[in-house]
Amino acid sequence: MSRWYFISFLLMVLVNCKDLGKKERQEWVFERKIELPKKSRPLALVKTGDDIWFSDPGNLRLIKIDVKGNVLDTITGIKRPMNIDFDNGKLYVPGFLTDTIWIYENGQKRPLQLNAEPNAPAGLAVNGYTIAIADFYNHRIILQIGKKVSYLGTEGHAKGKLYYPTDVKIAKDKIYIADAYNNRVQVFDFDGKALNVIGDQDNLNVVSGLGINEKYLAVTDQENSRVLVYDLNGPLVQILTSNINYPTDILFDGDILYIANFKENSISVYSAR
Amino acid sequence: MKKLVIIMAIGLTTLMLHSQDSKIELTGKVKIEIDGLSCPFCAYGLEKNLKDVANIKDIKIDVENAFVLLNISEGKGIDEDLIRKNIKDSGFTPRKITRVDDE
Repeated sequence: MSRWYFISFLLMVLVNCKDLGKKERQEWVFERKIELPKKSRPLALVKTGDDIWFSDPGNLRLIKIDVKGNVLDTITGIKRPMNIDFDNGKLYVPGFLTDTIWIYENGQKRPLQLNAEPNAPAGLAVNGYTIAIADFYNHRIILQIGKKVSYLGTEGHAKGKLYYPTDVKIAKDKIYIADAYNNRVQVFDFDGKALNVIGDQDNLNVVSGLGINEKYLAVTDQENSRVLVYDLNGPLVQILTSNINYPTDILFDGDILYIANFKENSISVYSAR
Repeated sequence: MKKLVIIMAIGLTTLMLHSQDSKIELTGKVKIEIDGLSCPFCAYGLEKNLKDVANIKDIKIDVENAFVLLNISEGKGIDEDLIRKNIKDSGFTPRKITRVDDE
């Protein structure tokens, strides 16, 4: 009899453990769209306090909105602003056409002193004195820490090689790269060692933008109008398809996920359940 | 024999001149329809490559409708083959090229 008690107890523990696992894993559900000014085509997103900056390269501008879509600020005069970042009160903007990185702070913009020569900077990530730049035509990442510059990747298709990188994220001791035309994400360490490949089995077609938080990595599957969410170590968690139109960037903000719809004037908002 | 050499030389020269004449020179405002221009990174990459071509005054890229408008400097011209090669080197296939004034 005691054996049956023991087996029943074991089953209950197993079921509860399974439930716990389910509760820990988030699921994102489409909530709404933020409508942007009529001719806007949002390419990239960053959060600054309660508000969102988005780049609009087709109109040579960046626009700051609140979460309802009301316009709060505009920056003009940057030729094709692409994947942007925000760090320590400063907005960092790659000027794709002029090979310049712009810093926007307190209503003024100035060029960043860069000790390297990018050819079409498509995206960047900034963390204190560290800046990583997706150097589109040179098929590499420029990593500048203070004044010291190193490079991650060279042109190609094997692990550790890059082919038209468009976005980059820094997370602790790792660098996540949107290896756009290799249709995958690559993870490097700061010494340039390729650690991991993510998404190469998921039929991605142009990985142009990344979003990252403490647990997850979200990836735009631009040409298939999908966003794929991965565990930071690689396993696929969820595929988002509802109300997404040619996504080019993703932004995590707590339990909210914002997606830039490049082919229309909107940002899709998903929330975690 | 001497006559034959002269005739061949004249023939070759005529052929060369004719092939030079067959070059198409683009002038004024030109619209180029391009396959696969939907990706913004590639489209603006093409714009970056074209802006360095001599005699182009202004470039407009229409990502949604997949074409490029070139405004060529007044009194100047650009070899059509050069433009087609530039577009191909940027990873695209150029299609129809038309003078905007003619439309």
